[in-house]
Amino acid sequence: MKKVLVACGNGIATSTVVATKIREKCEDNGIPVIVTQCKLLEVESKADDYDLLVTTGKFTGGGVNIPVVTAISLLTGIGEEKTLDEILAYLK
Amino acid sequence: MSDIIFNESMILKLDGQKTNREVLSAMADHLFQKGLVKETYKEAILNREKEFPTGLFTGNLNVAIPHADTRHVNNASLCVGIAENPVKFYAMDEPDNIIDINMVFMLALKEAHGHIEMLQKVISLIQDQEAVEKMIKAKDLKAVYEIVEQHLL
Repeated sequence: MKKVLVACGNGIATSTVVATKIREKCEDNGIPVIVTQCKLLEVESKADDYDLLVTTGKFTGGGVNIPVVTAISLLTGIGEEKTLDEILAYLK
Repeated sequence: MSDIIFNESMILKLDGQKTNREVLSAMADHLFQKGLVKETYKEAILNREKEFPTGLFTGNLNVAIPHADTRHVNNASLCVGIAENPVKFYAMDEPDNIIDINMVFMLALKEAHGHIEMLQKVISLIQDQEAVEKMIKAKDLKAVYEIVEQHLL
C-alpha cells in the first residue's frame, strides 16, 4: 500500500483538509492508501518512509527523494480536480 | 459544527486595522478577551504568519486562515474578520507573493488533526465566492452571521 505524507505549517489544520480529500479520492477510486499528517519542518526527517509528499505551504527543504505535489488548490478550489488526479497518478 | 464556539459576537468588522499584523492582533485579542485562547495565542499567530503565511488566493475576494498550535487554545472556536478595504497578506503557497485579503477566518483549534467537519465547511465556504461577497457587503454583523451559519452549522 502506498503511503502519503501531507504537510502544512502547523500540521493541524490545512493538512487535515488535504488528507481527508486525498483519502476520499483514493477510496472513490478503489486505491488503498495510508495518509499521515505532519508539520513542514518535520518533512525531511519523515519523507523517506513515504511514497509521496503533498504540501499546502511552500516546501523549501531539500533532501527529499520522493515526488512532491503542492496542493494549495485543495484549499482554494481553483484547479482542485487536476491536483487530485495528479496525486492519484502517483498512487496507482 | 457543535464542537466549536461561533456566534455573532465572534465576527469583527476590520475598519481601523491597516496591516495584517494589526488584523491578526485585533482578532487574537478578541478571542483572548472571551477566554477562548491563552495569552500566548497572539504571539503564536503572529510568528506563524511570518514563517508560514496563510493567505489563500480564492478568486476576486481572497481569504486568510490564520491558526496556531493547539496548546495556545482553551476552547475550539472561530473568529471571522471582514475587511471592506483589503489588507495585504502573504500567500500560503508562495510566501513572497502578496495577496489582498477581504476576509479572515481565524481558527482556534483544540485537536490536532481533528475538527475535520468544521475545517471542510470553512474551506468550502471560502471557495464560494458568491457567499464571500455577500458577507463582505452585508449591512450588519447579523447578516454576516446568518450566511456563515447557513454554511457552517
